Amino acid sequence: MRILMACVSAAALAASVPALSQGQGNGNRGGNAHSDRGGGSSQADRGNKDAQRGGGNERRAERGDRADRGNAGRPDRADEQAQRGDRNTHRGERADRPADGDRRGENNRDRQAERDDRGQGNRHSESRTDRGNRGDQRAERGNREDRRADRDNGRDRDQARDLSERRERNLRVASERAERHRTLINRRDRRTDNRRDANGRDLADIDFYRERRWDGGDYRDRLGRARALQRTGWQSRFCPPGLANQNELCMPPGQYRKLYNRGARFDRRGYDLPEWYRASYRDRGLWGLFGGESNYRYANGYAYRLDPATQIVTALFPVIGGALGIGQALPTGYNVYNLPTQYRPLYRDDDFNYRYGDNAIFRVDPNNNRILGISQLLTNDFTVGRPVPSGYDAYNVPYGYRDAYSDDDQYRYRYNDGQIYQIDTGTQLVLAAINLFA
Amino acid sequence: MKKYIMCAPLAAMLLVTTACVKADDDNGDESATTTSAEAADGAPVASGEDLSIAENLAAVADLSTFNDAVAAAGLTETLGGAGPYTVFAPTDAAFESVENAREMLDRGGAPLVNLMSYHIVPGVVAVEDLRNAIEQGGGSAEIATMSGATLTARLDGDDVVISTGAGNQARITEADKAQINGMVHVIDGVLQPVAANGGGGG
Repeated sequence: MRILMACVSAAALAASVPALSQGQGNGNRGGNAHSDRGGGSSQADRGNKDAQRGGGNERRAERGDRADRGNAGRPDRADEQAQRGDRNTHRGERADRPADGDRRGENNRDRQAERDDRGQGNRHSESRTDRGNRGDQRAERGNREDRRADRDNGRDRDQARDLSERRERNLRVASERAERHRTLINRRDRRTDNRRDANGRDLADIDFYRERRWDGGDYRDRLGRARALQRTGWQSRFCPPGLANQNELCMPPGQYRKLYNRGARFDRRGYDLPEWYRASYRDRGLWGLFGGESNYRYANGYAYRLDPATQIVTALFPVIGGALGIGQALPTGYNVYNLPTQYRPLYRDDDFNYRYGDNAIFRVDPNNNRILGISQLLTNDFTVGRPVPSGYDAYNVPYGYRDAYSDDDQYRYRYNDGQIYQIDTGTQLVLAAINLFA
Repeated sequence: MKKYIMCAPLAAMLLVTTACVKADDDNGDESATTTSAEAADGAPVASGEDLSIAENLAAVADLSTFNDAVAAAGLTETLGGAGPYTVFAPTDAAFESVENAREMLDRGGAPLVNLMSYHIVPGVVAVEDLRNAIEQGGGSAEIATMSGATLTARLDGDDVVISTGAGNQARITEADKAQINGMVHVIDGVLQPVAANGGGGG
């Protein structure tokens, strides 16, 4: 019904346009008057264009006729153009273009006239035609909007109802949950619940944090859970993959190990590198000249080398058993296969990954990068071309190789890190390395 | 210790059997043949030549504390792997004499790894090798450990005594227990890199 009404109103508006144009007082002359001002042809064109924009072809043809009529007293060219416009009504907007093209010589003038028209009388008829067409559009748009509004209203009502129900449900759940938490907290704090499992773990604690686990998962809950699990001895079982199972909490490995990064100032003065580790990280003192102040510190599984003057961390080394302990996630920078050459045939990345660090080869879980075992200890003592290191006074070649590599007057042989080294007895220089695993 | 002795004939039999199998194989492994020949001759005595260091440590009752410590330090896989290493294994009695040994074992981590690796030496060092080195060195020989520190070997009568820089020392009570991946010497003291009470700090 609305559509029908809209069509009728649009038709009425379209029909009223010529009447309105005439009603401006000049009838056909109005067209001439327009042409006088700025060129009838352009107006006729415009009329056609407007008609094409606004309505169907028939209506446009009609309007073209009217324009023709309107231009009766105008110069021939204007008539021709108008007629062409009539003939071309079925071609749509393109019908106007040849008319424009025919008067290319007058293009500039016409354009100027068009500009003038916009500012003067043409404005009326044009704007009214436009208005009529726009009225059609508006009517249609209005219909669409009405329909959409109807749909939207329905949807809004549904959504509002859903939202309200959801809100109520959430409130109810939150309230129930809060009540349960209060009960658990009270039970735990008052120690009225003394339940223990078979391993003696506090069941009230476990219940409490098991409950909290599903409570939206905000940070404090996770923190609390980690602490509780640590207390109850469940930490290692519940540390999610990718988080380091550290002494206190499940923490992202990067975060944990950034306690002292390169360039940071080491503020734990007096916490020296433990004596048990000084053999590996020997103090060099100030610039290696004086043996006074230690320039190594140990913290959080890392040995830190410091600038003795500023206490700035210049290097840090993950320590076997510390940051490189079994169960720990490998520190950043150990993603690449980095084994010493002689051990590569022995340990290849396959079911497990193997990584080298702090003079050891570690077997690593490829899924979560955790250290599963220490496959090999190394010393890195020997370098070909350099003197034999101290500590290799005793012959130590494995039994299977003793016949081939036995000490004589010219050479000595020593085993280290998968290789047998040939040593010149005179110079004590390491001459060659024989790889046992090649 | 008794288990070592019990293992010896069994291991020898196994190795002889292996040698027979290997002899039929034209492409037999040279080292395997050598080992079986040594075992057949009875010298050197190979109480666990078909077992790794880790397996043998686990089998000997008198070395249970050391074995526990190795496990706690995460070095069981190391001593069960390719090696080869020479291990100075303190007896349970030796651990009892150390004041903070149990505490250190319980604490684990880097200090324990360091302590354990102080008892592990690269390669295969037989007592005879130590004697030769001591003789050539004019009474002492230095032995590098996997911890980066060095031990000193000396003779005390016929016994070989191993000492640390901190002054701890231990005597080799049972020598040359050859394993498939190295050698075990049983010692009567714990080799500590620092004085008896200075092992903390981890």
